[in-house]
Amino acid sequence: MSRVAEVQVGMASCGIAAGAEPVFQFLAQNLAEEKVRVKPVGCLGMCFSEPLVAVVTEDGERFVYGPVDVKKAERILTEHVRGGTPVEDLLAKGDGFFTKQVRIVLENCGMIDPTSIDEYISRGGYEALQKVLREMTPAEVIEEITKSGLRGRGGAGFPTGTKWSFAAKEKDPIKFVVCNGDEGDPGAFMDRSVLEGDPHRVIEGMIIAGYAIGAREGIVYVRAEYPLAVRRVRQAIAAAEARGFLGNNILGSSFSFRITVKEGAGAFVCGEETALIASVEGKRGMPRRRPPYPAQHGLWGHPTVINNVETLANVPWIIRHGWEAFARYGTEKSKGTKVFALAGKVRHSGLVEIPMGLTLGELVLEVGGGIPKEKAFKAVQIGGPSGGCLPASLAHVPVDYESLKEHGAIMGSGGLIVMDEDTCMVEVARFFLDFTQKESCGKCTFCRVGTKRMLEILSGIVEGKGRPEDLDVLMDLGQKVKTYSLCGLGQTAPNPVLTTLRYFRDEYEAHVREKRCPARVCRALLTYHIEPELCRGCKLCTKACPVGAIEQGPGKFQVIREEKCIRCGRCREVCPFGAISVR
Amino acid sequence: MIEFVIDGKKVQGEAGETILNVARRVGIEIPALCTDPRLPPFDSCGICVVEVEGKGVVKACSTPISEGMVVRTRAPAAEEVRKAALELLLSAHWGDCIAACQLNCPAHTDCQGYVGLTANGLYLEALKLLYEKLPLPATLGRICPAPCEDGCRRQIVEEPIQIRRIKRFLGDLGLDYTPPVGAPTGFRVAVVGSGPAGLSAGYFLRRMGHEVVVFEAREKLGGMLRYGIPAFRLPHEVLDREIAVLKRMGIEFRTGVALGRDLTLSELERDFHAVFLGLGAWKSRRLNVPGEDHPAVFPGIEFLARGKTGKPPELPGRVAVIGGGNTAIDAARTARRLGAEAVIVYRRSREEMPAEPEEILEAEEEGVRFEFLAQPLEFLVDGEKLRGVRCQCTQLSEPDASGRRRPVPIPGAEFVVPVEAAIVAVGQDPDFSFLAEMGLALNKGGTIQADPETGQTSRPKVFAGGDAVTGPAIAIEAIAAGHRAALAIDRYLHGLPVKVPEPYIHKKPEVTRADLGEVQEARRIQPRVLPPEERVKDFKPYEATFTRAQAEAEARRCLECGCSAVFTCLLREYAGQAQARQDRYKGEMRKALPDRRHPFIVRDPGKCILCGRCVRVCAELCGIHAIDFVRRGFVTEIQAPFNRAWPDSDCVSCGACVETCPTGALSDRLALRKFVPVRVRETKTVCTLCGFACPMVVETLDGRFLRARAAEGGILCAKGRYGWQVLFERARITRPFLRRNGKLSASSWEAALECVAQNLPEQGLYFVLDPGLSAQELALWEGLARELSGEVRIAAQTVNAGKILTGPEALRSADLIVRPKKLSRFEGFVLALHLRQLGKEGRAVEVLVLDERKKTLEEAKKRVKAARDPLFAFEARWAEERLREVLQEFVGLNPNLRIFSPQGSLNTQLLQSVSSEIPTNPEGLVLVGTDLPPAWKGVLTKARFVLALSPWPNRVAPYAHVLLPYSLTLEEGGTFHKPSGASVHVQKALLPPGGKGNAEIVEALAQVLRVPLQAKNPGGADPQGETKLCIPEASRLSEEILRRRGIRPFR
Repeated sequence: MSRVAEVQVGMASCGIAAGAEPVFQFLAQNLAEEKVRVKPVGCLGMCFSEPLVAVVTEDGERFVYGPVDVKKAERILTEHVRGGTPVEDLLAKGDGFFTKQVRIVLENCGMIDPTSIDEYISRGGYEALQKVLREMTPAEVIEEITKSGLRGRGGAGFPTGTKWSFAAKEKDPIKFVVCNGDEGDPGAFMDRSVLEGDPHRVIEGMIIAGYAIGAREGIVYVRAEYPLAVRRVRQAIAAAEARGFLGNNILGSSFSFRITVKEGAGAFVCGEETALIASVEGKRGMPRRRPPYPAQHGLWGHPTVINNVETLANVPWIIRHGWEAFARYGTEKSKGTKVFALAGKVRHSGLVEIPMGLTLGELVLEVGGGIPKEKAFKAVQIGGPSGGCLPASLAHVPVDYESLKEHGAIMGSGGLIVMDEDTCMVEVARFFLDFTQKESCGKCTFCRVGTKRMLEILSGIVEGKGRPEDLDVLMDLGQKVKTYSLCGLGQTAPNPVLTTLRYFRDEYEAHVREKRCPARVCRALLTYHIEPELCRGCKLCTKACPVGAIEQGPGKFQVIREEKCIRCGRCREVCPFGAISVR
Repeated sequence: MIEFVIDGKKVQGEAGETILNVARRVGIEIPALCTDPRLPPFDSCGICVVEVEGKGVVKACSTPISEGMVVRTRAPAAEEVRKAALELLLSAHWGDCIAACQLNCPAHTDCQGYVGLTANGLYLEALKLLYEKLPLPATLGRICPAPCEDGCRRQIVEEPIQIRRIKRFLGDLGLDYTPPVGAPTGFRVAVVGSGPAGLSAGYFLRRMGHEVVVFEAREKLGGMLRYGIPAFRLPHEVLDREIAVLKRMGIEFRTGVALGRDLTLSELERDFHAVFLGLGAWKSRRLNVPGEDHPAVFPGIEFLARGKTGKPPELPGRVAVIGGGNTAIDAARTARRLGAEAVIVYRRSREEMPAEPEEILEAEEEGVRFEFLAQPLEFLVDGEKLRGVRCQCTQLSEPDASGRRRPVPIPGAEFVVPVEAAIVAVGQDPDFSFLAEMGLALNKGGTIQADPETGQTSRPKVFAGGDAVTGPAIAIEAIAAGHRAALAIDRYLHGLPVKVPEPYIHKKPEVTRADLGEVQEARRIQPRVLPPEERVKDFKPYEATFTRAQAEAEARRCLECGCSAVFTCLLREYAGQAQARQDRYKGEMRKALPDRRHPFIVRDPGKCILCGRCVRVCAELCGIHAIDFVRRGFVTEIQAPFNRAWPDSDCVSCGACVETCPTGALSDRLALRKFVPVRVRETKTVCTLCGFACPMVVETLDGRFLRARAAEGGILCAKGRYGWQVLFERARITRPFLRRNGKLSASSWEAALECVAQNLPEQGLYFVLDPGLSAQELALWEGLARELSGEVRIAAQTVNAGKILTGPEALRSADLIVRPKKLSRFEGFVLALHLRQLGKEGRAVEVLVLDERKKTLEEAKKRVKAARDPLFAFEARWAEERLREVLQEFVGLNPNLRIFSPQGSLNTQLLQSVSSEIPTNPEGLVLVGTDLPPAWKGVLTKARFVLALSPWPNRVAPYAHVLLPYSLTLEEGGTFHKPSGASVHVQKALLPPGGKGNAEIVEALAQVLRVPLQAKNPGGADPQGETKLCIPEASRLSEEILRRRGIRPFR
């Protein structure tokens, strides 16, 4: 057994939130005098097991422990770091989690100290920049990216090389590169993880983009709700400037480039590129019609390339390894990998990076480890709140732009929520639409009022007031909102509704026709019932009922008076005999 | 050049143009709400959708044209999307197009309109408005059950407005008024029956210019109005005078001619181009109980008719009136007046009585008794005499189809009402068997079969309305039916489709007290009425008409529910075109109370459709950005930042946002006590408050100023937009005043002119003229002065800076414009607009902004020296502070330097023929339209005689011996010549408040002074005595008042 060289603690926002700070402090204090280095790293991806501690041996073997608290850290310290024996029972259990992953964007994430530019450099950082500045013309850079097949990872999947070439063609001496880090989807944390765990990668990608299109200025637009990411990016910019990767005449070339940070104010729609431009310009974040595209007429009217964090993080890797290496991964039209934030009813919730073309089933059941509590896999919401809801029966569908679109969903920026049999699909649609409706910028009639009316119909359905004709109205309005909204928000907002209507129509029908929620989620549609043969008349339920809806029945058993029942479920929880059923 | 097809029409456009641009240019209307033609597309409302072959439904505002494309603006697929977009907007729109009172009136009488006009004291306008929807206002004002008041929102606060009594007030005031008659059409229409339906149809047909002959079977006109309503409620004189109005309009009446007896339908069809049947329902219903044919048992209508013809039956002792409707009440009250005791026998209870509660109450006051829950079984006859009515006691069961609870007999419970006479008033039916014989289709109940919207019967030439179609109903319904039929007949006569679609009307689904906001409680005003014991003595009317004060005070209680944009709203127009419904998508609405914090602009967020035009016009056209979208999602709203009141934002009160608003979400606060949504007169003229002379439209009502707005898609400054309004709010001099015993008192024109003739000195006479007079006025006054050997002076402050140009034309040729950094929200704002416009047009003009730093001053001087055609532009305030010093440094730097100020003739030198020198010892002064500069003050006390002509009481007034009302430019009209050589013609838009126009006054003066009057330059194109648009008193005054209301300078 080789000696322990390094102890890493996952210190991204998620790790800190899970309690990594005291673990880190403990390890750092206790190992201060030993030769073992304790370092904070970014997100390791295994959110299901946070806080995470990785012990790395001198020959590079890595043992990931989690979840770790101070007590467990003490055992790791004595038994493994000092004693040389891995603590088997504390190792993070993520069988299969990494097996099918391919790490390009997340190559360094959770491995390096994000505050250290040297660590980034030591793993090949800024080599790509040196390569383009010394060996490649801007046109060659664009060609490389074009050939790699890299497409925008922010949602729409526009070919990155093409976008760059549009901006490069413009004669305007002033151009901009904007990194879109306005990750507004609830449950998504890909961009945050990358910015927190490997900020230089994004910076390097931006500089290369700037070189390729002839821009001298870059702006990182990042949510103010990501304070750690903002700090890490600022640190990284300062460090890169200090090393001459940013500023005038970078690495002795004639190319100069600067990057500033602009913090967003929390509007989901500002992730849309024209709204983002308005926001940077100090205006209200409202989309405008395209064309003109930002690549021609963007920030302050100048050609502007706006790339998502993940897109830019791919760039240095492609330059270093060549387009062929990148294009080896993925499908015919969707090359490379995609990072997903796996969440919901899945064992291995966390940050994963998979090659495109892996099936939804593989992603959920193998990488994600399947559904906990032996429940059945029902559906995934893919592509954020305005993505689509795909049923388990589509587990064979490969994850790529075209296949997802074909089935009514979108790649989106990579939010992926797994749902089990206990999920009501009508309620899911209502939940996501509630988010997008509230985040509509209010400009387009169909988006502003149309989604509101759809939401009201859905609320009515889950409250038991739905009518069969509501479903037609939802379909019709949903199509119109999609077609006649100006920006991506409105064009995708009805997706959860339309896909659930498409794949789970029977659940809607049950709600509106039978006033029944098959998943037993919609309170207004539930009825609680005491099975007389199971009831022993102990009256625990009667005592527990907050509204006095349970009475002595004609026999020994209790009965629930439905008109009084508020469907809180307390009785069912307290019944020791399982006599209370819900329908 | 791109060629393509819209709606089958070949059109051409430039590359880059949108479908909407080209369509508008070639006159094809594509509905659009978020597009202001002055701005690039916003692409948000979703209304402008069209179908493009091969591309499907797209938005016309943002789809560029391409060669050979085929566009269909009204393709069903596009219409469907447009309708959905409209219906989504409507589903959130919180507002009423038209007030509930008006909608509740069967005739859709514009209640809010005439009530509002009454509140503003505009009685004639109110009366004219009434007559647009009905004849006989004084009659209806007495007898109408006023469904309008049932709809009145004010009852949510306390009580509805007394709409009916205000109508009566107006009707009584207007008994001598004659409504206009249209140009003769050559069509002749016969009207049968002179009741409310017939009179109404005849009236409207005549108004449209058709010849109308009314046939009446009875001796006198008026039908049920005359024979069915007792005189104490409707005196003959009122009805006669109102029918006389119709006679004055040229309607021919033939009485004693009955259809079926003297005439046949075929004859009418032969002799006339169309026929209207307004026959009533005259046959009293019977109870069909024993004893009903006894001579002391009278059918209700016949009883009332005999009361009205002056031959009332003698009523001994006690009378039972059977029935619970208005006729029963009228009969009982008539019986009381004939000396009888009256008891009403009704088979239901009081709550179910169809009679008006107010009348039931009045009958009760007059001693009428009631027997409820009693149904007559038999009239007990004792030989010759009636002994009483045997009644069955009833009780109420379940509500029937009419919603009233049905009476059912209580077996065995009977009683007798002892009476000597009885009146059966249980309803009437028409009796039209003769019409059926003439081949007209009747309904099962015996009424005439007619289309409810048009009144057209089974014979296309014959229309019908009123009781004849509906069975007995209230008069206003007959009036409405007459109106509808008249419109249909008019279309029929002109060969148009008889039916037309109804316009769209948006309604607030339900209104609660909270939706009304703060309203000061005020009970309705009650008219003077005689005490009941006086009333029953005779048949004289017992209720007085409102006094003016009462009517105005009551009218002021109106909550102004109807929308200010009802005639202009695009949402409404498009919704009507698309036949959209407001309740297709039901859900939360944008409920909100109007924001009235701005002194001139009312913002009603509930009506806002978020089209963003106001935001964009403010930011992109005006360069201000006082408002923007706030919040997200459905609750997005347009506001000043941080919900500040607009005057606390950067708002300059130009009102451009109001003008671009396609709905009623933004409206002007008008110079009226009550806002009234009525059609106004528009006069296109120019603003004369500074030298820019911006094109302006003045809206007037009855010759009164209502508002000014920009013409030709332009933008006015606060002064032009709202300054006129504040000027017209000021108390004006409306009649001559004479000084008697040291005090000014009102006099006649004759006396005032005579006084001038007596006292005007022949020596030492000076005419001091306001520099803001029109060329015509100046010429007239100069002419008069010449004849009287008087000298002419101009009252103005002097800045000796050479010739100062005014007007936008002066800016256009410059290659360098130097302007100060600070500009006012008035002329300065317009200056900035013009400079922006020059920039947009890509003119090679450089604008140099001069701040107070020495460096920029020196730089500017250098540039001015080098420029080809430099212009120094400023406006008053800045000039007052620093002009002398700064301007002096520039004068002489470049021989081509021109000086520009929208106020222009600060410089008296510009009026070349007259001087501004102050006379030392004047004998007489004639001060025309001016408040003198302070330097003149000493002169006033020296003069023996001062004649002052002024629009309003000013500093000069205390010195005047004779004070005459003088008109403002908009009340007089005239020509103004600018130093640049351009002329401006001001169109007269308003009536002179003093009765005499300015020119008339000069002429009258010349006449009393016995001198000939010859104007030297009556507004010629190139006058020698060059006059200017300049700072007249009005301009300064309006600015002062606006400042007091919180309009401050901007950056």
